[in-house]
Amino acid sequence: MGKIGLIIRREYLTRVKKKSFIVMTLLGPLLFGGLFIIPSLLDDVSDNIKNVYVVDQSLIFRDAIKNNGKYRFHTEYADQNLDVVRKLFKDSSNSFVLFIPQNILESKDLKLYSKKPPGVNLTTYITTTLSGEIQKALVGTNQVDKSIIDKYLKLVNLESVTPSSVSDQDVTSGIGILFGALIYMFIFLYSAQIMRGVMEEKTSRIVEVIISSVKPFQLMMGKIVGVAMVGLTQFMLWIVLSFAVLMPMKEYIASRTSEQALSPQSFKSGMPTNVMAMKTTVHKSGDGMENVVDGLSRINWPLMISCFIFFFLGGYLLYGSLFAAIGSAVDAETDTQQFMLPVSAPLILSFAMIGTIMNNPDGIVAFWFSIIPFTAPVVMMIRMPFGVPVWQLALSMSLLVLGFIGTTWLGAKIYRTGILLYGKKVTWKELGKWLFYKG
Amino acid sequence: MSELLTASHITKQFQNHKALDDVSLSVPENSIFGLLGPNGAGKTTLIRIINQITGPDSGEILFHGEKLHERHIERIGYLPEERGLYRKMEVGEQALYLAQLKGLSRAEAMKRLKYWFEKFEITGWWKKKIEELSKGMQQKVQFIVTVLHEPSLIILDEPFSGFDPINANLIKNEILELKKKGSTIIFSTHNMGSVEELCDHIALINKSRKILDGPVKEIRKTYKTNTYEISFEGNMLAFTHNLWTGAELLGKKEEDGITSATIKLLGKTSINDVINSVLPHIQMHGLKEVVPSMNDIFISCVSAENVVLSNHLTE
Repeated sequence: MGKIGLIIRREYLTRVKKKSFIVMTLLGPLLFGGLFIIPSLLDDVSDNIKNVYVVDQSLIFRDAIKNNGKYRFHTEYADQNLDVVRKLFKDSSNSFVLFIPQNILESKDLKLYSKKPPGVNLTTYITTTLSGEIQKALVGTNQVDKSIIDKYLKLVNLESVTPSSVSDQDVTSGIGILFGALIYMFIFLYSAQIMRGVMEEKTSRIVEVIISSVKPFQLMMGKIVGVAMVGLTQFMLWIVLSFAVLMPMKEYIASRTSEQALSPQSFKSGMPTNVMAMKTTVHKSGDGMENVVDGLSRINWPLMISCFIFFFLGGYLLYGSLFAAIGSAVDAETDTQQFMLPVSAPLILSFAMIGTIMNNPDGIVAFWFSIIPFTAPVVMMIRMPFGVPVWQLALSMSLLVLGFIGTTWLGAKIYRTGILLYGKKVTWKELGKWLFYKG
Repeated sequence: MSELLTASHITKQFQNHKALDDVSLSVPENSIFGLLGPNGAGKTTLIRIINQITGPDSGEILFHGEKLHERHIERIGYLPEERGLYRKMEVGEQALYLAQLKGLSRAEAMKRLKYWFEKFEITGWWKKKIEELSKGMQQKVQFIVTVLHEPSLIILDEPFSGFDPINANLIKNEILELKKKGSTIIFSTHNMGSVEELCDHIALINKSRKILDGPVKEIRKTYKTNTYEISFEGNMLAFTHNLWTGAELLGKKEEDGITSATIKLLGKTSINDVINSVLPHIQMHGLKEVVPSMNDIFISCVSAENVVLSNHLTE
């Protein structure tokens, strides 16, 4: 292992073993999971009464679906044309149109049209009730035996349809913002770690011992690379843990809400609670994340993830060496302020530009901000889900590489003078002079 | 005795001042070399240049006759004046890390650390964090790390600052032992007592210039001023009277009836002449030559130099 390898190893291990790293790594996915789950939960607990307009071409379920505390079912349009009814209610976010086709007993598909994705409660409620009604209808006519009922039950399927153009946009924007924000956060978080690491070495006075063994540049790069690996490790763990957390959470919420929705209804209709039926319907109905999942599946994930890693590393290296330079120039954390703000201004600016970029992801502003290395990492990630021409991506990436080579060179020059200078209040002018010192 | 390190005409200019101005010196192999000088004289800059932390503007350093090169780093051990360790890191892990940076393998470093930790009786500290240790304890660890890779040149910048007398003594003994084992030691200090005790050679730097260097014994010989201290019982007046013109009385003190007189020989008078002339009149108790201490030499050189410099400036 070379010396720089030793430094990387130390920087990596000491950070990964820290309690704060472990806590952050474990908490991250929980917060993240919360971000996904909470909106759908909130939707269910909100007090607004939601209207469901039933278009029942089979005419079987007229009046069968009872209103409950949250949902009011309107059957007055039951025999009207679906398109007419949809047009009537398409603008209200509290309205749903449930479509039951004529051949519901043979086909399996119910459709629920809405502007916003329906909550878990609603879809579960509808599927359970209708399943029960079908069962009741079939048993009542004595036409079929139980095995066939079971077959129907399994096939009842509620497809939730939200206007696809809006939903796509939302998901795409969401992904863009999410990744942009992640990059922003990661760059800040880990650049600050570099800065603090450099200051620790300087204030504890160990730096002179180390740079009598290795070149200052090796020490700086070792630290930057080591911290980058910590960041990547955290990112990877978050992805893995997020899945591990999201899956059980999904199951839990689905089962909890289905119990609430199902139990009273099945007793009321005099049906014995059929565990089999519950499972099938819940499973089939989806839980409001379906259109998110649909949107997600339209995104080129391998490209997205590899771009994320590239722009994270690029942006991090770009800012990292500048932050290392700041850390080397000061004696105490409080002195960092005057340098931190100007250095991180472009990064903050790029984050503040999210709205503008979002409104016009292919506009001139978006283009330039995604090309200039200092703002490219965040802005390019926001643009990515909307599709970016290959040449722009290539140009942005090449400039980013040039950019971080440049800042590394600059940072290293300040760094090697700064780390050996104690008890001096450093000014910008001073930093400028250091650039021209000879080794 | 061959030279381990030769610095020739080293000049280093910082933005607003010259840290080193045409400094040349040579450090003989297997010697203890004292680098002396007041604060800000340029000692640390010179040491940093030898450690390749920074480079000279001009001049050249030879290590074992070769131009100083990156590979020499592993043969130099350096204890800087501004020293410290990673506070949150465990002692053992940290020592291993620093040793590996100096080119030792992990296994070899482990073996040697075991030896040193036992020698300094600090094996119990291995798993402790540095911040849990007292300052003196940290210094011990730091010293071990400095010499662990058995460098042929050990550079200690103010090694005794911050040590309590017991640890300072421990380090002093280690320095002598390392010399016995064949190492060459450069140390910079203000502590003139330790210079007399330890150093074979010195170089004195003041205001970025070297103003004096050579073997300690010779320097002290050159700075001898033919001064003697004679202690006796008897009539002081008779004593002074019989000095004649051969010597000058510099001072006297009396204690328990015994007078100690400090005299300086003048002209070609030898101490024997003086003794012969005063002996009949006094009861001799002792005679010793007053050799200037390094401290005296240091002060006289530095202040003389400063006077010259300031005269030069006012001209």
